[in-house]
Amino acid sequence: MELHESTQDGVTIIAPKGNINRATSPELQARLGPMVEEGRSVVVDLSEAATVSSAGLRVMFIIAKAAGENSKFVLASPNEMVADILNVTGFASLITVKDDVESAVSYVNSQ
Amino acid sequence: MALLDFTLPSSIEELQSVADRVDAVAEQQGWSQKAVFALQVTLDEWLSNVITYSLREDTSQSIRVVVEESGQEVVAQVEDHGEPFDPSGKVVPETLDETLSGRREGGMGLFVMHHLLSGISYERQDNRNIVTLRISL
Repeated sequence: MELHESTQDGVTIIAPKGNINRATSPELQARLGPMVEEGRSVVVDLSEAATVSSAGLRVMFIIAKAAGENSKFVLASPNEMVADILNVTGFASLITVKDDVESAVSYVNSQ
Repeated sequence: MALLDFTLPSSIEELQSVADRVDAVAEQQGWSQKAVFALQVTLDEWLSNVITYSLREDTSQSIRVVVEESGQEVVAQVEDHGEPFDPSGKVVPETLDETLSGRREGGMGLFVMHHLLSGISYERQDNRNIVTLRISL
């Protein structure tokens, strides 16, 4: 997994590329944790994330919980299989998921 | 002949090399993204489970992984010498509350595995757990 960072309309976008699994998810947590703790809103662009296993889902949930009311944490652009996993596990009802980065960014800026 | 046949030490850090090997063979075989997704995720779930619970991260222990293509399926077999554990039984969809409070650690992984696999079987032979994961191509 590689992590690419960019900014769009003042919102930080982290784009993991490759497999978000048991071995790589701690790196994602280490990158996102301090951002949301500082109160920064973050969009995770999943368009290049080939897979997300349950270890990755746990990290997303921990970060969403840490973001709480102080900042926004939004997932964007999951592939068909990742979207399916988010739905069957129920995570999609706990974490905001948008179809693309643009709508995730507008969502963050409208809050 | 198996497409992949290797052993890895019982350590979470080793899982990235498993993912890399699977990506390489998937590209070579031209498997669909859906099949590769199922293989990557179910191997990650099951190997994490074996490393953490059956072998308790004892890095002196090793795990054998064999991946083959058979008819219209990818078949992955995982063997370890850890404590007996049969993942093939029906998994009751757990609630997020149970998962996130840690009361059923590992339960979500098993639920995800059953969702993605077309078949799963378990054998206990000579003090080994042998788990076979089947994925439709």
